[in-house]
Amino acid sequence: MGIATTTNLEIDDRTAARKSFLLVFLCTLIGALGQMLIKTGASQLGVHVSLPEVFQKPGLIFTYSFGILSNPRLFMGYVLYGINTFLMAAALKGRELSRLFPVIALTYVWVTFLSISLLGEHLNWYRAVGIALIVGGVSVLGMKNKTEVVG
Amino acid sequence: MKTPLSSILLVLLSSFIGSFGAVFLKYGAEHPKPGFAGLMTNYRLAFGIALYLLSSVFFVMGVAQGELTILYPMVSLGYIWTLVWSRIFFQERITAFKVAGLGLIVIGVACINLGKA
Repeated sequence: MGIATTTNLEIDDRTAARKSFLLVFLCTLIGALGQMLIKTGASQLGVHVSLPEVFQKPGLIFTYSFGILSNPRLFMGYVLYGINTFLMAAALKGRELSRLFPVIALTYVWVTFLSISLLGEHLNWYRAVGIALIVGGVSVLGMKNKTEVVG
Repeated sequence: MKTPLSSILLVLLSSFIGSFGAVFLKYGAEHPKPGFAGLMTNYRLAFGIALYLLSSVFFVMGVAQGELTILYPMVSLGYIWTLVWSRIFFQERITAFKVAGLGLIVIGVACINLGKA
């Protein structure tokens, strides 16, 4: 880069990158809420289906889908996932999929916090290290080589 | 508690289908049509959403039985598929930062789930 510091192109790129990251970040918060609803809803539903059964009777997929729709928690969870899908698409426009998609893993961090604060679960070393690794991984993922072309 | 092979296969299938969902989501985002009608008739986006839904159904089926400490982290394998699809379909570069970041994330997800046990 030398003396010639940041170009307008680079500043535009950084602004777009930040906007996309914040959108995906929002997705992870909404997704965590959705996951809590789906997790508790799925155990309410309590239907067990195995893979061979699905292959024998593909109609089971629709039966199961109906079960999901008729459970309020699962329904709300999937509505939140639906909202997430559009936010994610907006975030991906013009940006790298391989760099943005794994940021979704932050959802696990929020789910862990929610499980500890709402479901009375406890923080332990595994969870603390896991949270640190995910946050670290997302940070590393955002890094770019100086030689990498903007865009 | 034992984790049946069928549960593992269901969750793997779910992560595989879900990673293609992300690919079509990006395809849809790169081919936008104006207005609400445009959003509703964006077939690439619709296909991506359909894949996500299918992926979710398989996921719910998979986690209904078996240990969640094994099944939940397997979803993060989807990020690895996505790295490969990004290279193939969008010519994105696989950089050392991306591989290292992904590695940390996958191990991190596994750790968090071990902590649930």
